[in-house]
Amino acid sequence: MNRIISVITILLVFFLSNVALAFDTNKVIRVAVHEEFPPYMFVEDGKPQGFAVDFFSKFAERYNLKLSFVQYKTWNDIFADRDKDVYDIIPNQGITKERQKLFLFGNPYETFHISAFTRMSSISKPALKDYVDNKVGVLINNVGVKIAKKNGLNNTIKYETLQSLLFGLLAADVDLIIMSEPVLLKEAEFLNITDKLKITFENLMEIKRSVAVTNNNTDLGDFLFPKIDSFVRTQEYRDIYISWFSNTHNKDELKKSIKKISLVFSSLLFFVILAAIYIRVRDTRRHTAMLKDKVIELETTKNALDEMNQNLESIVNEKSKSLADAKERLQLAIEASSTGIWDWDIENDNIFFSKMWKSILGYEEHEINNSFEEFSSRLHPEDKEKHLKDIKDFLQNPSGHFTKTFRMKAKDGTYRWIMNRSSFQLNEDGKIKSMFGSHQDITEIKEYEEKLSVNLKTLTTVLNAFPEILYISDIDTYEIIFANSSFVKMLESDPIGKKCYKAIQNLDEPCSFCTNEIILANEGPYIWEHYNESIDTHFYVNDQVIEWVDGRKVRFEMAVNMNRMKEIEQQLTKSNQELEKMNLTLDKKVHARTKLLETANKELESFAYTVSHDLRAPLRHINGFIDILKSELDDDITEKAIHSLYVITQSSLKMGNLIDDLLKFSRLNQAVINRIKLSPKELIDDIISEYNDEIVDLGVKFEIDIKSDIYVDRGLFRQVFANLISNAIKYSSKSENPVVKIRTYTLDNYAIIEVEDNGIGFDMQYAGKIFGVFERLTNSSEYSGMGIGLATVNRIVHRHEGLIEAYGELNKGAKFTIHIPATGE
Amino acid sequence: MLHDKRILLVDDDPFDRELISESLKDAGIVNKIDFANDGVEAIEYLFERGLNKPILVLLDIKMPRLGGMEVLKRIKDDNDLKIIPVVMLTSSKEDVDVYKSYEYQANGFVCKPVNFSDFQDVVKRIGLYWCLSNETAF
Repeated sequence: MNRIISVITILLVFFLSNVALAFDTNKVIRVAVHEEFPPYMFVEDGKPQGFAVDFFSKFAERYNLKLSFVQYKTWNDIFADRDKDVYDIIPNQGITKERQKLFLFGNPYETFHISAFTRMSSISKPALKDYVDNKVGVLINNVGVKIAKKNGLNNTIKYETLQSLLFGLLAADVDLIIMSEPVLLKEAEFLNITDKLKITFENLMEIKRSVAVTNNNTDLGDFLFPKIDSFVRTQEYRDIYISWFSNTHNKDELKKSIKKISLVFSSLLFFVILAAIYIRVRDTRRHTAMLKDKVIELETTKNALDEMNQNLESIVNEKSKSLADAKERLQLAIEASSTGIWDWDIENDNIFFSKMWKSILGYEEHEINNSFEEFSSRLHPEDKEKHLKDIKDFLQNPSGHFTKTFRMKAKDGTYRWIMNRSSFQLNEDGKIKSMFGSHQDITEIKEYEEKLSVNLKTLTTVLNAFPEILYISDIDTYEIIFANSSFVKMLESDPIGKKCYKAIQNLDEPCSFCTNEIILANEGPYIWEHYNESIDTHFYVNDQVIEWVDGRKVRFEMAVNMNRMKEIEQQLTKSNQELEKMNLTLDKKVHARTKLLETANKELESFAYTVSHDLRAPLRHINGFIDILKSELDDDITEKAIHSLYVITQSSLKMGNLIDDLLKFSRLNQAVINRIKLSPKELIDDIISEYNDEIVDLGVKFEIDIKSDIYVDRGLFRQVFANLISNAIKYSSKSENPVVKIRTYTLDNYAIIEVEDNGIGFDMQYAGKIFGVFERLTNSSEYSGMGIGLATVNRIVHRHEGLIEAYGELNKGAKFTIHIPATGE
Repeated sequence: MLHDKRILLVDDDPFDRELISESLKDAGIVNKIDFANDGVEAIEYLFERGLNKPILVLLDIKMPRLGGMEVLKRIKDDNDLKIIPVVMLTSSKEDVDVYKSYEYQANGFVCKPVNFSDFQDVVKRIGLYWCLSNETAF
């Protein structure tokens, strides 16, 4: 029983103590922010900014905490409010023994050094202690005060602000300043005077920074510190750190990144359109060259001035260290930089413009006096009203830095883009005493940025108009960085920021077929084909490693949709298979048909043989027995009987000729063509002599013009000429002056043979029938013939791989033209 | 003695047989003409009947049962008969028949013309040539 009670008691105590320690996360955490402590915290455009601010904002976001900021102008004010329950934490505070008594600190998350700085041009002394006779600058309430004291440097000037500390050094009010290295360098960088400073003694002290929680707020401390410990181990924290402490804001870096952007897009463009890349590269080159020239020019000027400055310094060193002298020296120091400096004494309304300030606008030293009007009157009309209002607002409520960009009219009438950065000093009443700052001519950068943005717009338009897929992803994280419209459209959602394997393949881990390793090993593009199951699409893919704007290697992919191609390919394969099948069937058919034809030919052969043999016998008998009959009848025969017997005889002879012709015709297909070179003249003469009687009777004239030999089978072409010539004679028989013209000549590798007559001709509408077997276009009683001659000619010409054409006009004549290959090959 | 020497006419066509013998008569050839209706009868006549050998064989190519070409081959393969002149007769003008005939050692080849006078002419020449030359030979 006792044991149970004790357990309950322990649990109760534990529970109660937990409740007591728990921090109510609905409570707003109030954060004290110094307005002028860059890069940790400062106010710009009325809002707190800086590393510590970012850090704590992201931290709150991650743990879902509510924040509010309380702004302070000095550290003194912050410390004074410590116990007034105005704020809960200071987000970034160096840990010192004194402070540990006043605040609760978590584990340090950042370490930095306190260093001592001198002017670049001055000669450094060997040890910090050696500066005991020099004036040393420190920031009020800063650890530098302690370090100076510790090293016996008692001749110190305590400055209120970082800017006054910095200018105190440059103006030779002091010869050494002791300050936190990152803070001082950041400010110098902002004012573009890093090259005027020298770190003489590095790492005088190491300071650890952490979040400071007011002493009476232990539950908040216990709540925050473990979370901060884990937060500083995240990539998010590292990104914030890098964004504030790596030099991304200087001009060289800007140039570099501009160059990188153009490089990345050049390589993208390469895939899309060559013309655009031409313009791009041309512009980039021209500008890079321009900037280079400028840098060299500036370098030369700077060196010359540095030298001059050093000479002057030694001279000035000898002079009294009065304020007036110091101002002069400051001016000299300032002139050395490419940045124009102005210093506005608001109380006395006097503004100082450095020589460089004037020369940026193209003016000589004496051409501009020390009035504010010289500045305001040169503002671009479009910028003037706004900028003057900005200045007025700032003067009324000065805090942090004042950074503006505007245009100013140069002496030659052109406008220059100016980047103004300024700071201010307050008097004892907390009112603004003076403002000072720098002018930098950023016209070229501005123009180039504009040009670049136009080019980028053009590029983006082109890439988006590109009908195929383009995307870029990070090789290590698989995150998609860029996607063109076609890709977004295909995915039906914007994939930027998503993992490529998730967005494209709908997978939860990198694809097994990922080509990243291949393209990292490859020099050029890697081309492959891919089928995406999740969207049922075939792609022709081009992968390549390119350098992205920020310098990292990224994966560039261009994927062409091949679905249509695949479809066509499949159709083609299918058609091919069908065609093959058809071919096979056709082959079989042809084979079967050939067999049939062979059989038919053989049958025809034996048929023709039988016909010629058996049909001729009865004719012979008719003829023979009529003869016998005639001699038997002898004298008793009448005229009419003689005529009858004559007709019978003639008919049977005609029938015999017909049979012979038919047989010849049927044999033409089998005849072996034996081509030889021969002169048609010889054949023609032979045939003409054969028909000599008729030619003489009818008075037919021949006009023969032989210009070409022919390669033909002699026997077969004898038939050709015999048929054509006999036809010509036959159908010219009724003409008044029958003329038969025969020509041969060569034309385009063909031997041409023409046989023309001026006989009865034929109607061209029957031209198609003229070469048919037993086709006769004339009345058979008028012209003898079997109607098989031209069919025979046609077949012989075809067997010689030639062709024959017939041209006729009724009662005017006919013309036959044969084309056969000019050589036997 | 000439008339004792026979001519063997082998033809399946009776009209042709008649026209040929008529033509031979017209040509003044008086030799006795024996007929055979086809190749079988011709073989029988030449090899089995033991009669005097004919002085001339006129042999039609196209015949039923046994063709002229086969008969020619048998005659020319036989040592006793091969000296008998054989003239092939045909109705067709097929080159192949001519080649084959000479290949089988025919002594002559005649394409029976449709025109009777031409036919008579041809037969007459054959008859005279072979009969007369044979007469001197015998």
